[in-house]
Amino acid sequence: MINRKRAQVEIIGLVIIVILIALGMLFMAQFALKEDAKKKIFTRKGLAYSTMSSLMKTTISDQSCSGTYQKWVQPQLGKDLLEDCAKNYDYYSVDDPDSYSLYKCQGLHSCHFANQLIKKLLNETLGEWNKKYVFQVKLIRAQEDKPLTIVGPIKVGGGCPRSKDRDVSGLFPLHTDAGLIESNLYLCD
Amino acid sequence: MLRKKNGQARMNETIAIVFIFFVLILFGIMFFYQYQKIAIKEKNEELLGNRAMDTTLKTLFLPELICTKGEAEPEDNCFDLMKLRHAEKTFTAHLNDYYYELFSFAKITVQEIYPGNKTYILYDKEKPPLEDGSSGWTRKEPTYFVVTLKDENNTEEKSNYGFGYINIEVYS
Repeated sequence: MINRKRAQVEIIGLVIIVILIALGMLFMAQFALKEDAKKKIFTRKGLAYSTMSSLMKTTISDQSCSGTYQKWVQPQLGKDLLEDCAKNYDYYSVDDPDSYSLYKCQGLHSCHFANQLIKKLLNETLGEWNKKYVFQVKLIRAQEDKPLTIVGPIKVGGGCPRSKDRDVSGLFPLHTDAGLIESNLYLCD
Repeated sequence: MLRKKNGQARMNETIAIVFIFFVLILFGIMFFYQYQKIAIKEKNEELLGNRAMDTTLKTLFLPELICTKGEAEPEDNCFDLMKLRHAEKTFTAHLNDYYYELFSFAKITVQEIYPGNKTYILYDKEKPPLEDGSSGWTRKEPTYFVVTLKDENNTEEKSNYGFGYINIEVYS
C-alpha cells in the first residue's frame, strides 16, 4: 500500500516536471519564432525599390554635360547615361576616364561619371542612414556567356552577402543595342 | 519516541518542500513580470513603428504632393516640385483642421539631394511639453524614403527629375 502511494507521488512529480519543461519550451519557441518587425521589412524592401527607381529617373543637370554635336544636354541617368555606358564600354578604362562616349559630363566617360554620381547619391542617403548596400549594373551581351559589370559594385559596410538578411530592388532591365542592362541594389541591416 | 522523531523529520521535509515550492513560484512571478515589462515596451515600439509606416504611406500617396499627369496613373515615389513648393503654405494653413487628423504628432521633411539641396518642412507638430516643462514625447521614430523630385518648370520640353528623400518622424 505504501509502495503504491509512493509511486503515485513520483508520477505526480514527473508530470509537474514535464509541464514545467513544456512551458519553458513554449517560451523558447515564442522567442525563436518571433518575426522581424513588419516596419523593418517594409522599409527595407520599399527603400531599395524607391532608391533604384529614383536613381534611374534622375536627370543630370550638370552644365558640363554634352551629347550629340557637343550640345548641352540633360541626360537621364538610367535611360541615357547607362545605355551610352553599355554601348561604349569597350572604349572605357578606369585609368583613362575621359575616353570616348557619346555623353560627356565633366569631360568624363559616361560609365565613369555614372559610377561617381551614383556613389555620391547613395552615400548621401543610404550611407548617412547607416545602411549597408551593394549597387551594380551588369551588361548581358548576346555573344558573351558571362554578364559584364559596367558600373560598381559600389559597396558600403562589407556589402550584403547571401548569409545576411537582405532585400533587393529588382532588376530594372533596359534593352539597348549593346545588350540587356540589369541594375540592382541590395540592402541589408 | 522514535515515531515522534520520525514525524518531526517528515514535518521538516514538508516545510522545506513547501518553502522551495514558494521560492520557485516567486521566481516564476519575477520572471513573468520582467518578461511582460519587456513585451509591453516591444509592443509600444511596434505600434510606433506601424504608425511611422502608415504616415510614410499616407505622405507618399498624398495628392497634394504626388506626381500626376491628367488622368494617367500617378508616378510611384515621386513628388512634384511645383506642388511641393506650395505645399508648405497649404499644410501650415490647415495644420489643425485637416492634417493633424492624418499625421497626428509628427514631422515631415523633404530633402533635395540632387541637383540642389533645399529642405522643405511640410508638417511639424510636436507633442506639447508637460506641466513641469519637460518634453512631451519620449521616443521619436524616423523613417526615410528616397523619392524623385519632378520639375516641369524648366526650359526643356521634357521634365527634369531630381533626387531626394523624405524623412518622417513620429513622436510617442
